Amino acid sequence: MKKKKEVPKASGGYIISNPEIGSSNENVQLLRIVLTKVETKIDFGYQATDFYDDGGWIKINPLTFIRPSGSSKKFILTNAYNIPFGPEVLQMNSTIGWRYFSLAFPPISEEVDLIDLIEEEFGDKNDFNFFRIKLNEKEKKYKIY
Amino acid sequence: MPPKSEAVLRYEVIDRCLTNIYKRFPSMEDLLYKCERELKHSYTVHTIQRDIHAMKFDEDLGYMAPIKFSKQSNGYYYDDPNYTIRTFGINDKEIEAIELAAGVLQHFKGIKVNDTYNHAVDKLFSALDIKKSSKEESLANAIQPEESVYMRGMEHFEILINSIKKKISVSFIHYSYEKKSFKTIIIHPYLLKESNKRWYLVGYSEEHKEIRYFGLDRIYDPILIDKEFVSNNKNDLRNLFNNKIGINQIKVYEKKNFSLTADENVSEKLEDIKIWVSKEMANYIKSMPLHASQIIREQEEGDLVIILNLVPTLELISLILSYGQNMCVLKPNWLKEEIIKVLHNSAEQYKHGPF
Repeated sequence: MKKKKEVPKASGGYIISNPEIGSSNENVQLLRIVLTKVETKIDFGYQATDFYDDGGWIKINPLTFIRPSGSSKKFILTNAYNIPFGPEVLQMNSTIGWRYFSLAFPPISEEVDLIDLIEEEFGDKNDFNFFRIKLNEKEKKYKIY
Repeated sequence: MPPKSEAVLRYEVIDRCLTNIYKRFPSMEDLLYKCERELKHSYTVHTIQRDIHAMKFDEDLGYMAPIKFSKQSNGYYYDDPNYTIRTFGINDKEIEAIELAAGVLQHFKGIKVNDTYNHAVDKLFSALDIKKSSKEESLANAIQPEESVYMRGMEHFEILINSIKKKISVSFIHYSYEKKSFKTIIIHPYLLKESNKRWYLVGYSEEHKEIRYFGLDRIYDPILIDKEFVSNNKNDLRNLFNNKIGINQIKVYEKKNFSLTADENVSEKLEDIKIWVSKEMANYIKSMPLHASQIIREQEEGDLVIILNLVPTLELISLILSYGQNMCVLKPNWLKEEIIKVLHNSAEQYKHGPF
């Protein structure tokens, strides 16, 4: 049996609550970013739709990365919580299925203002691609206690 | 904790003298001098003698201190060199009370309210040198609270209670079962409220700009954040919840065309609810009212009409429905109509599906 991964507790650093995003995947909601010296954790919510009778499934490409917008420097996914790495999938089992999950990447510099999150470069609407995610909006960024 | 009596303060001074390894065998004069100096009060030798006697023999006090007098050294000492009232100042009745309280709290153990709870109880018993009673003897076994099942989100209990205590704002992800959507919430938490075995966090939500409650089972990944705390100076939350059965009040605008949805804010709009109760159920409702506001009007046939003054909630409807044909809403009309609709739909479902 696989050991369930525990989401590490945040300590130090910042959260960005409900960050503004230039363009985003419509199937999944980017909810919060937790910036610490250890990692960059991004929290998501997924709500199944009636597009599939059984609610469909979700997975994450292990090569998913973040990058400062406009840069070619990639920070590859280091961990995924509550979502399997593809090709393994998580079945929703019904059209009212839902999932809260998090993706962890290496820490990024506090100087970075905008990032992209890319599951598939030049992918389609099913891929978890988000562009120009704002990290330094004063009214949405809070220091972790 | 109530203030210590002056006598207890003297016992503590005497105890410190008797355990002072740098000045063994304190004399009566030493004890008197120390008490007067530390407590800034004059005492007689007789008072100190009476204190020593109480420490040795008073069963209600419970110290049963092994104080002896050494003629050779002309001073007092503890026969047991490890003795001190600081660790043994608890009597059998108090041990029983602690055991009983521990028993009441047992049902929290399984739901992991607080990782440190079990350890704290063990430490307390160990520090007091109380031998835990065997299972058969334990007073805790004489009571059996309703069994609590594990509820998702109880693992957040400790962090949330600390945030309330220290007045620290919290960021968390919330999933609404009703709206089937996620939200990022920043809350200034005030209270953890239990209702129907579910726990709710109550506080000022920045998203909603008002006091809201959130089921712990729908809260994900709470993080304490450094943000100026918005205190609750307007509402007495404890009284606010006293005006309800449960927590999920019904949206006011939906009362005309009612469907089973809840309003998550905690405002207070009281209504009179008039309910008929059958004579078979009358004694039960008289002996245990549905709500503190319950007024009873007895009918000649032995049945009752009760009037409740409260904020209508989903839990009130569930409670009324749980009495089946033994309870019937007379007023207000919207509630009566809704219960008729629920019972009708339920009967149709039993007859025709959708299973």
